[in-house]
Amino acid sequence: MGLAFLAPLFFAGLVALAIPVLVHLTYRQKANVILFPSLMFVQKVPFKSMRRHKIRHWLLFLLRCAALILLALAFSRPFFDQASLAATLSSASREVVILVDNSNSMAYGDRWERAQRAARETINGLSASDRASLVFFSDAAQLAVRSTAEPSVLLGTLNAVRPTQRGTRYAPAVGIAQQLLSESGLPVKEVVLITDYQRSGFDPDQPVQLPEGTHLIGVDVAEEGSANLSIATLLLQREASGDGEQLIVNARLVNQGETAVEGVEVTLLVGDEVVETRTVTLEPNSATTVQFQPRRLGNDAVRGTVLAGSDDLPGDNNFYFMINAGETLDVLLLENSNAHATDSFFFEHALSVGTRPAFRSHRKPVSQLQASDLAGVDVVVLNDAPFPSGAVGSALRAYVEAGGGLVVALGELIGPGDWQGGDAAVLVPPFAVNPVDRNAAFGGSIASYDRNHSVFEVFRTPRSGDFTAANFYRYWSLEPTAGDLVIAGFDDGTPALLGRAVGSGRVLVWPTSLDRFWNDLVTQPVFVPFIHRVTQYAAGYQQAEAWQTVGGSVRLATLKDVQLPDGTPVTATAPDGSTTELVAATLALGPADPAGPSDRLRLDDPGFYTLVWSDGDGDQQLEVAANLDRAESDLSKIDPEELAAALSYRAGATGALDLSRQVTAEDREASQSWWWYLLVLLFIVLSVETALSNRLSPSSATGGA
Amino acid sequence: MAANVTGQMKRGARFLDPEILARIDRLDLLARTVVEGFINGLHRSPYLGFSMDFAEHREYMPGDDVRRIDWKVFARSDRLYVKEFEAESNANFMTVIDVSRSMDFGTGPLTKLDYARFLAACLTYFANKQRDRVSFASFDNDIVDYVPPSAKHLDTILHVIDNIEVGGRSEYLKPLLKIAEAAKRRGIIVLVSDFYEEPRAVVDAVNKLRFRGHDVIVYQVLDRAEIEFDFDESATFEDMETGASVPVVPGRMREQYKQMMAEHLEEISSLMIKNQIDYGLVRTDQPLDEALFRYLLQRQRMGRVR
Repeated sequence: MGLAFLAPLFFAGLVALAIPVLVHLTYRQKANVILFPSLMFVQKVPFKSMRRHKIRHWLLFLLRCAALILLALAFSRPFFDQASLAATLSSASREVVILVDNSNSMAYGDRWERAQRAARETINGLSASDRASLVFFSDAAQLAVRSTAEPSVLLGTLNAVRPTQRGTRYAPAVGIAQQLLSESGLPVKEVVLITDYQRSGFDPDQPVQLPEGTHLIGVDVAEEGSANLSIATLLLQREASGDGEQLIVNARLVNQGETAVEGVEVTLLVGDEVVETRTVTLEPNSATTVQFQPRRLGNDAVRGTVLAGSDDLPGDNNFYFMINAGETLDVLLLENSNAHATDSFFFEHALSVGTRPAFRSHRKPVSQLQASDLAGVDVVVLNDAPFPSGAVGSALRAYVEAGGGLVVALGELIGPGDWQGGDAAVLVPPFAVNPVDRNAAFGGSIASYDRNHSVFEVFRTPRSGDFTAANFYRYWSLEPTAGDLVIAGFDDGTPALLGRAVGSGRVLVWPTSLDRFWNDLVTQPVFVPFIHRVTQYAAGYQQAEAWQTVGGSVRLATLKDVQLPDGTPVTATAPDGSTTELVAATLALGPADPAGPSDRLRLDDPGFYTLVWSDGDGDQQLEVAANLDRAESDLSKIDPEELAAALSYRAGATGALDLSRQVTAEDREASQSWWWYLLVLLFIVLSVETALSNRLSPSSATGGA
Repeated sequence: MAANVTGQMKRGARFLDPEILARIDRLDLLARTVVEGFINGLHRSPYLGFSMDFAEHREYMPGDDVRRIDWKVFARSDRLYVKEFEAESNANFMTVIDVSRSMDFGTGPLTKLDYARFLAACLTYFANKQRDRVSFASFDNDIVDYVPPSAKHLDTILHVIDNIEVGGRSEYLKPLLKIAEAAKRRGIIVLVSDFYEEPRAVVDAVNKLRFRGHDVIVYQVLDRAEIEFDFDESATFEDMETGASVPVVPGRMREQYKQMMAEHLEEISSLMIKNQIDYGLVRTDQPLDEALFRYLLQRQRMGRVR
C-alpha cells in the first residue's frame, strides 16, 4: 500500500513555505518601515546593533510552515493506493487473465483470427514469473486454462477453440476474472479483454467489477464499417380457416450496413420443402417485412425455416420455427332450450376474433347434447342452460374430471333447481334461490379481481382494462365451498367469477348472463379479452413457443402436449447429428450431479432438435426449433472506454491507454477523503497560530500601544 | 535674550503654535495672523519700543522730498527734519527653502516642509509689510521655484509657497550658487533646510551667498524624532532621499545616534558662527516666533547699519 496523490501539482504550493521564512526573517521589519529623512547617522552605527535575519518565534514559524504543508497536502488529495505500489514494481510478477470473446459475432470476417493473434501476442509476452489464465466467453464464460505459467498450454487451448453460435455477455467473463485475480497472490493483476465490443453484450443492470488495482487492457478486433443482413424475427399468424387453420409467416429482415442489399431471396421452407421464395431489396440501415402466402395447416406439427441470403455472419440468415398442432381451441356452446337467438351472440363473436389461439365454436341446445359431442372439445360452455341430466350429465362431469374445461354462465333462464344435486353439485357451487337485483342501485359493479390469476393477469398493468365501468343489474349469489376460488367479486361481496378444480379439469362459474340482459359488460372493451382468457384458462391452454434461443435449455416436463412419466428415457438429436440421452423428471433435476442424467435439453446450436421416446403406443417424436440470439446480429459497438469504465474498479482502460489507474485513483481518493481531515487539521493549526501570534504580538503585550 | 523673548511671546501668541497653524488652510491668512500677532506681542512686551514703519528723523538736506518734512517737529523746534522709514531702505528679502524629499518628514502635525513653508510665508509677509522687496526660491538639487524680488510679489510668493511639492535629493552648492548669481542686489536671504550634509559643505555653499554681500539667516529645521530618535519598535528605516533601507532596533542605537546628531548640529552651528552666518535650529514642534524674532533682530541690525 503506497501513498499516492490525485493532484500532485499542488505540491508546487510548498514553494509558499518561503513565505513564513521570509515573514519571520524580514517581514516584521518591513511591515514597520519608517521613512526617515536621512540614514547618514543610522548607517554609521555599528552593524552589530541591528537585528536582522534571525527567526524570533520558532513555534509560530513552525505552525505557519505546518499550515502551508497541510494546505498543499489537502489540495494534492492524497490517498493510499495499492495499485501505485504495484505499478512501481514494473518487474513484478503478473497475474494475467485473458478474456477471449468467442461469441457468434466473432465469426464475422477475420475477427476470430485477429482475436487469436492478439491472444498469442499476450501469451508470448508473458515473462517466466507471470501466470496467465485463458477464459472464453459468449453468453456464458468458460475457464479454459486456470492460472498457469506454461504458455504452451495456453496456446494449445487457444488454437483448439472456434467461435460459438451464442450471444455475447461480458459479465460472466469478468466474474471469472474477478475470482481468479482475487485468488492470486501476485502483485500485478492484469486483464486482457479481446472482443469486438458488441454493445448488446453489456448489461448495465448486471454490474460486475474487477478487483481494485487491476489493469484492464482492451483489444478491439472489430473492423470499421461492418454490415450484416439478418432475419430479426418471425411473426407467425394462425387463423381459423373453414374447418382447419392457416398460417401466415411474416419475416422481419434488417440490413445493418451502409450499403443497400439488393435481390435478396427470402425462402420459406415447410418441412424440407421450399414452398415460396420472395425477392426483396433493403436500403442501407433499414428493415422490411416479407409476408408469405397463407399455408393451410394439418393436424400434425410441422417445422419451418426461413432463409435470407448469405453474408459474413451467416448464422442469423436462417430462422427456424415449429408450428405445433392444436393451436385452435374447440368450444362447445350449450344453450337453454328456451334461449333467445342473441343469447350467445356476443360470446361467439368474441371468440371469433381470436387468433392465437384461434377458437372454433359449435352451438347446440343442451337438451340435444350427447356424450359423444364432448370428444375433442377443449371447452364446454353452458350459457344460461341447466345441467344436463342423466348419463349426459355424468359424461360431462367425467369430461371435466379428465381434464376438460367447463364455463358456466348463470342467467335468467335457469334457477337453483337446475343445478342441484348429483354431478351438477360437483361442478358448480350452490347459489341462492333468487338472484340479486341491483336495479334499484342502478346496478352493481365488479369491485375486485385477482390480477395474478391467469384470467385477469392481462389486465394487471395500469390502463389495461377497467372492469368497474360495467354495471351488473342482476346476478346469482354463489355460495363457495371449500376449495373454490373466488377470482372476482361484486361490490356487495358476492363472487363474480368462481373457479373450481374438478379432477384434472377446471370449471369457471359466471353468475350472470353473457348478453346485455343482466349486465352491460358485453359493451365494455374488456369483454373480448376477458372471454378469451376465460376460455383459454378453462381449456388449460398454454401457448407453445415456436422456437427457442440458442444458449438456453428446455425441460422435458414443460413440453406442450407431452406427458412423460418420470424416468422415461428420451434421446435428443442435435442439429449436427449428435445425440444426448435425457431422462424425464417431474421435478427439475438440479445441478447436484451434472455428469448424471439430465431432464434438460441444452440448445447449443441453431436448428431443429429431435426428441424421441417410447410409450405404450410406440415411438413418439417431438421437435424443438432453436435460433441464434438475435441480439448477436446487432454488431454496433460499445465505446471501449465506457465498457472499461464499467468493468473496472470504478475505472477503465482500453488498448494501450491504461485508464484504470487514473479513474480508480479518483474514486479511491473520493472514498478515503483524506483532504477533509487535513483541512480540519489545518483549521486547528491556524487557530493555534492565531492565538499564539496574538499572544506574541507586541501591541497586545503593551496593551495596544 | 531671545529665549526670554520667546517665553514672553508664548503667553500672548498662542496662534504661533504649530499645532494651531496646521489647522489654517490659507497661507496668506496664516502669515498675516502670525505676523500681526507677533507684532502685537512685541508692542505689549517691555523689551523695546519698536516701530517697523518709522526709523528716524534726520535733518533736511537739499534735494530731499519736501513732502517728507515732519511739520510737527518743525513747529516745535523750528528746524526741518524729514522722516526716514525702514521701507524706504528698499532692501531685498528672499526666502530660500529646501524642498528635498527629506523635508517631508514629520512626526507631529507638521512636516519640516510645512514648517518651512509657514516660516517662509510669515517672513515674506513680514518683510513685505516693511516695504522690502520680497523674493522667493526653493531648491532640492537645483532651483525648483524662483520668484524675482518685487514689493508686489507677496501674493505670488504666497501662491508659490502654497503649491510647493516635495522634490528629490538635496544639494546645496549648485542651487545656492545660482541664487547668489540671481540675487545681485544686496539683501537678506533666509535659508531654511534640514542640512543633511556634511557641515563643511553646507557652510561652503552658504558662503556663496554671504560672499555676495547678503545677510544670510540660516534656519535648520528638524523634527523632534530626528533629534531624540525616540522610536520604540524595531523597524526598517528607509532613507527618504536615497531609498536605502536598514533594519534598526532603535533602542540599541538611540544614544549613539543622538550623540552623532548633536555633534553634527554643533559643528554646523560653530561653522556658521565662525563664518558670520546667523544660524538657528528650530524644531517643528516649536512656535514660529523664535524664528521671526531672529529675523527681526537681523533686520534691525541692518537698519542700524544703514
